[in-house]
Amino acid sequence: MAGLPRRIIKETQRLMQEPVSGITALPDENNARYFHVTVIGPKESPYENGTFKLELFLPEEYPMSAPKVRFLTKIYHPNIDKLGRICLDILKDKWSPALQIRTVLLSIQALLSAPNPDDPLANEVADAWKSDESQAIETAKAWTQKHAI
Amino acid sequence: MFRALRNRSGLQMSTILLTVKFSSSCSCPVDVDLESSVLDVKSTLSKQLQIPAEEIQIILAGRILADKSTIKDLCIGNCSVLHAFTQKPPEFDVKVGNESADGNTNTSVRKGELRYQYFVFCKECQCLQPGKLRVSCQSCKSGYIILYRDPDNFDDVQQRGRINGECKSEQCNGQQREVEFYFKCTGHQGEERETAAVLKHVRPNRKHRLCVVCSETGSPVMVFPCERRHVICLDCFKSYCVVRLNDRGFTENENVGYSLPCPVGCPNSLIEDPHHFCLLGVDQYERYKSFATEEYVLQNGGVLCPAVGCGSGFLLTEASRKVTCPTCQKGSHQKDDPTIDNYHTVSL
Repeated sequence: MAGLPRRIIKETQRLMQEPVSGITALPDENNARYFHVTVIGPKESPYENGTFKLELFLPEEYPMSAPKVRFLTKIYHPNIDKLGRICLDILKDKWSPALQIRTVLLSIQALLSAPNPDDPLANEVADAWKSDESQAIETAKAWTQKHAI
Repeated sequence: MFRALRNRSGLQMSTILLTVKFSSSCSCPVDVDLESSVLDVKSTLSKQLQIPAEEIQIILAGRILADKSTIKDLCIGNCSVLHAFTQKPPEFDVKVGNESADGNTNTSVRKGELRYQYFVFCKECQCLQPGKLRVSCQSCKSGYIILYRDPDNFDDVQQRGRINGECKSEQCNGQQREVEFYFKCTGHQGEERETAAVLKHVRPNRKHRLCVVCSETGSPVMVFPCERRHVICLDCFKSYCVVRLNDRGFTENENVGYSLPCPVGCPNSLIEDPHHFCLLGVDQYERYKSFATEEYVLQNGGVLCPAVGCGSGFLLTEASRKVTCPTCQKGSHQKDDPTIDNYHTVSL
């Protein structure tokens, strides 16, 4: 871990010692800035029981710029596109150097509980969500069953 | 702590030259050892001036110096100017008694705490330097004033009229006067009344608090004025400002100007004095100033000239549809610049 800023070392240690419920984040053996992440689908959401894999990368400028996070598991969600990119304000203009890996992953978990079709990234999914929400939730459940379990 | 005592070649000196001013027409240069006491200085003066040592009182930064304090305790640099006055001992026997009785340890402890309490941005040194607080009389501008009480906070120092003192100069002759505070850089020997901008959010990190960005415990640090007093180290402060400047992410506020909140985003956490942005270095500070001006112009209904390389901002006085940019018109562009014809008017 030579040359790794103390902040990243401390955050990694804390993620290991005090893991967040429903979230795991393990640094890659060869790259301490790359994390293998899993997020468990929150209860009473269409993603319940699913285990979603994500990748998280801390760029050189971190924590001045946001971590880059992407879903690797396919997911049916209005704010996550088919490439796994996430529309979340704190990963863009609302990023602050006082936020951490932990807070980012908690926000992503919260996004699974509360999809926001009014600020969509995947337009088709958002349209489906707005026109027939119960049908969209069924599709999301089916995708979870197919890809995340 | 010896920083202020180094001479320009960086060598530590064991003696320094002080100037003790008795009045505008009478001042005495004295060579003093750092280990010598205020009383030793008084004895030296006493021999030079033929005045009994017990009649001499020396003032520094609004306080009468206790006899037992050493020059080292005072944290003053070479070529410092001290002020003095003479007074028959009986008149303030009690006061002197107090000063030296509870005084001595107290004075040095208090001075110890004061060490590096303030930081200034020094234009001469072009960097952050420990600063020292100095006082003068509002009326005669001299340093012969003795404070009635010490300042407790920045408001006491920065707002006029909160602290008064007794001025011992010939002109004021013991009258009650308003006190003027100012800050000096400890990094170089300046003129007696040379001032430096104090950076009120920069403090020593005595409690080893963690920087909210890098989790290190460096010192000094910026302490934001939010309720939780979030702390950021100066390196992170610079990168935080530059990143936000690149995004034009500063906030224009009518009270504090173009500023930044604490990185956590707490309410009421804007940096209250733009001098702090001097810490970004000359180039970034220039950028900060031009962005700040542009933001001010735009928020107050002004316009910016769109001509390439111009960008002058101006506030409109009349409700006309088109205005001519005052800068371009004055010919600040090349005469054959083809863009001028197209751009020297700004449509609203």
